[in-house]
Amino acid sequence: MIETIYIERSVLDHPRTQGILGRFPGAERILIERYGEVFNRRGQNFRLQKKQPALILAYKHDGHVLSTPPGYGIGGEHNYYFSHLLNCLYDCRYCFLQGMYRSAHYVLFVNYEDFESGMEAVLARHADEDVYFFSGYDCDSLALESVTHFVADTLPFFRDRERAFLELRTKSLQSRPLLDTDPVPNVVVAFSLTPDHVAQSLEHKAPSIARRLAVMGKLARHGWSIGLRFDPLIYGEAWAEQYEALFDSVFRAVPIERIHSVSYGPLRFPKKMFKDIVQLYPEERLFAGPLELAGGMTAYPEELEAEMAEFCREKLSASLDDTVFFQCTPEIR
Amino acid sequence: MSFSPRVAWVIALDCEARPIRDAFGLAPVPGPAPYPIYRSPCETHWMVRSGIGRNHGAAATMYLHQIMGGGAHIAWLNVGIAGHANLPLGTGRRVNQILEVSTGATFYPTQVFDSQLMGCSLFTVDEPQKTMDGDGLYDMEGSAFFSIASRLSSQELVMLIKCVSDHGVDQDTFPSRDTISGWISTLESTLMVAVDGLLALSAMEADRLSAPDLDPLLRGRHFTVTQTHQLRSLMRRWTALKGCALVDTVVNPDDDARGVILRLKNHLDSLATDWREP
Repeated sequence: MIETIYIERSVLDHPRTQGILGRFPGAERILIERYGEVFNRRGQNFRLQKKQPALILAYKHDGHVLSTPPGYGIGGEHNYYFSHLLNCLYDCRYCFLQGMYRSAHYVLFVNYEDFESGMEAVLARHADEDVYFFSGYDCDSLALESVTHFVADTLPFFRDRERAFLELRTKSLQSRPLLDTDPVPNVVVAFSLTPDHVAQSLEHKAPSIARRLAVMGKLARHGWSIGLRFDPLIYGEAWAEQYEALFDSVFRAVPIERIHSVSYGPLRFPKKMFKDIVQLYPEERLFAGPLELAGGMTAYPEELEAEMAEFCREKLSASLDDTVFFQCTPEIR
Repeated sequence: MSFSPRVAWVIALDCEARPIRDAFGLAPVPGPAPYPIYRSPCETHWMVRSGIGRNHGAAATMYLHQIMGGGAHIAWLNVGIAGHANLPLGTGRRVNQILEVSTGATFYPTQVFDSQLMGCSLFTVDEPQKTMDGDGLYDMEGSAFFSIASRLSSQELVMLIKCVSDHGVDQDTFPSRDTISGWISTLESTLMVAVDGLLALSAMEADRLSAPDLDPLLRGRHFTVTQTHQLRSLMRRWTALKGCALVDTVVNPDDDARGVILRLKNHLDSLATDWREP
């Protein structure tokens, strides 16, 4: 799975680094000074690198916890994200990560304790108020858990702080760290979902929708709060029937009382990012659809976006309370 | 520019180049040239013999790129001898990190396929080294080759394979040309694997970079520069959604440039992708 590991010299002796290296005894190890000399270098081809990404173990010096872009959230007033990991195991064609970084390598910042200190500082700034933290912004929160153990290490922090909410955003089947412990009421395990055929076409290397639903059901029955993320909404032939079928499958798999929140959002790319991604994947049907440029963003026409959002809201409302719905329209950084 | 997959070999010495030319059937390209050029009959393989040193490595790489007619899909392969403190002579290694000693610049060739060769770091130096420290290889061209080749293609398409020739330069024990050729010959099956991997990547990139043919639509019509960009974008969408289907089914022969763009756009915007189709 990981053939090459770049290691910042400063974290070589970190216990987490040593633990990870121990899990990949056959991987090639290359010592570096700073992760940027590999990750940020010009002349990299994201598409080719995605065939065999390397792991970079690094130290995050600052900016551990940042405010989310406007429009990003699940009902809280104070929303922050953190990125202990850059890039994703999966290769979803609609994902902005394709246009975000020059490299497809995974960067793991091993100083998890500094992320917790950062969250502690944010909590202190918002005394007595709920604060929401999002971990799946620059990565899938759970897909590389077998490598990182981040979730297992971080859950106790949230268990001890009731007003700190955590969203784990994932498509992964890595449920072990969550099933091996009691549920934490202020942690939401949010699954990204698209209709089955869309997922098969666009979510490369990701588990099938059926397997995701099975894990969601298992976690829900164990007592975890489940988030449903229909984000982005993807247009295509018979989209309405396909989304309706998806919603039916979700409600068959997950007990409604365990559904914490539902969000849905449009497919949108900043102009430059869209241009870069199309250059990487010119043959992709998604980018040949009826997208248009408006206000610096490439997206479906406004009426189509609204029609899809309205349809989803209406169908989901038949089963869910209005208070759990959130429309997600973030401006990508 | 040809969009067929290609490998460009940059080799310093004739004794290193000879076994590769024999294995891949490369013949000299006639005519005067600053660096000797060779190519295979199908023109998949090209080779330049650079001579020793960073300047020659960089210049010969650039020269071969010009001779081949350019292309960001070309895979680049540097094969040659290098010193190492203690690895057995004749051992082959893939370079995964390069330090240019005179400038401190570092480079990281990225492996995205299994080459069956162990990785090793490389120090590129300006003078032959009498003694060698640490676990790295020593050569005199690698950093310059990688620096230039990874600008011409992307770094995933650039590979360096080194064969250990000495444990520090000593004229009395330095291997003969025939010995070097023999070592390179023993790497032949390894080189075949590397070439297969690189050609597969080159083919992927050739597919990605080859633009739809606009000529049938441009012929007999006047497109402004902006309209040509719009047409290129529409034809990219057409190819993604309709494959090899002919645009004649949508465009009329008497449409002018504006009419062509309008018809194509309206048609493509009306299509809804059926995600059930692979």
